[in-house]
Amino acid sequence: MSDIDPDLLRRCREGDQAAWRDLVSEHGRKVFNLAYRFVGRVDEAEDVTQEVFVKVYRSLDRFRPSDGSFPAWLMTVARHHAIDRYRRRRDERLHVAGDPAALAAVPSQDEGPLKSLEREERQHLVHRGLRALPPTLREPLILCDLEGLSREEAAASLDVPVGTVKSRLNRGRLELAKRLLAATSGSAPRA
Amino acid sequence: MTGIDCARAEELLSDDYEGTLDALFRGDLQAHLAACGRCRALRSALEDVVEDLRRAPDLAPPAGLAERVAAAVVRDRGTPARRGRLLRVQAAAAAVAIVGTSALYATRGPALRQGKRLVERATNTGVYVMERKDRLLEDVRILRVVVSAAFEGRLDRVNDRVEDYRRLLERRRSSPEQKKSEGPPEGSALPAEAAAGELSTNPSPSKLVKLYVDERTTTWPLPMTRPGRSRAPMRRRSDR
Repeated sequence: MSDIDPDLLRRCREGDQAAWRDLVSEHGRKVFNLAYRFVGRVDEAEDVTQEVFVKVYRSLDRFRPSDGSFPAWLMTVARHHAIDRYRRRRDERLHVAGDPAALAAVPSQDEGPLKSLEREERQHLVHRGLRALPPTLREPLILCDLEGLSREEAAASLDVPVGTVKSRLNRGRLELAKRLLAATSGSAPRA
Repeated sequence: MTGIDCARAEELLSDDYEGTLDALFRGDLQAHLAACGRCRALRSALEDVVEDLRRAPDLAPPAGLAERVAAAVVRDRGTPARRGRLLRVQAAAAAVAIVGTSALYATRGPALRQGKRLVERATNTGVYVMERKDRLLEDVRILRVVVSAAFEGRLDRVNDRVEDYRRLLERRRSSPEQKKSEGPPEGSALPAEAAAGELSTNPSPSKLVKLYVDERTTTWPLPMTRPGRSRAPMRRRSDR
């Protein structure tokens, strides 16, 4: 099962701009969100999304509907590209600026106003903490906790052993939990 | 008094949250959590963190993203053809290089003999490595753990792993198999003449390679400081 209209796929291979617009409209949101979680900025996430789809276009001939679903293949390409780009540019982002506009755009769920406010504040703290983590701890958190990948899938994407993913995931979660505790108790996080 | 300390409890919290913790460890952790308020608070915060991350909603992409991306993809249409031309030029250059090198070997006798010797040495080395592959694989596995720990900045663990490796080498030295002479075969490119004491100070990468070829010459643990430099020794986490 390929989960993509064969005619749309054919038109995309031929470089039909309208077909690409349809394809990106359908699948771009997931790619954009994955990119945003790695780069932490809307404008940069859009650049990454664009690069991913250009890459998809260049390798579309290698995709066979019989090999599996198109969304799964697309997300594999997107993950590899997002991780590569993030690793290439992580030195430049020692001082990552937050994107308050994007965070404010996170919709609140159906709950009481006080609870909702607390949750939003906590989410803000958690996501800010996530951006401040070293890349080795941040990558497994993005892939496993935000993207919902299994440890094995994350290990394959990051090209590290499963045990390393587990240990980094635990350390990343602990680091965020300590920051959250420190922030809510008003003291500085432990080094 | 509980069986595990806070550091060990922290290592178990994530697996406990996932429900994948072994029953024995879970018992230890529960006993520790019952007695330690700090770890209880940390466990609760960890739960909040993971749930916040997992429930993080998707952002709506910026307006017009699909149009911009589609335009960028179509602009890229010419690129594969250009890449194809470049590949053809590279393939032609590689073919010329191969033909030229072959001609050189065919016309130059000494060069040909050197090539034969090189092949012979490589074959011998291959045989030698295959004979000791189990041991080499074991070394590589340990080294991988050491390097991973080093990359993660866990100097305490690096020290522990190096200590493990030192003990392994000692066991090998004392085993009967190790007592018989086992130098590399004649003509091997991996010489066994790594002299004892060469590794005692400032080991270079080539000396480390020799170490794997013949552990009889080793003097582990390797020194942590270079001669003439003073550096505090690495400490275990528990010492900090």
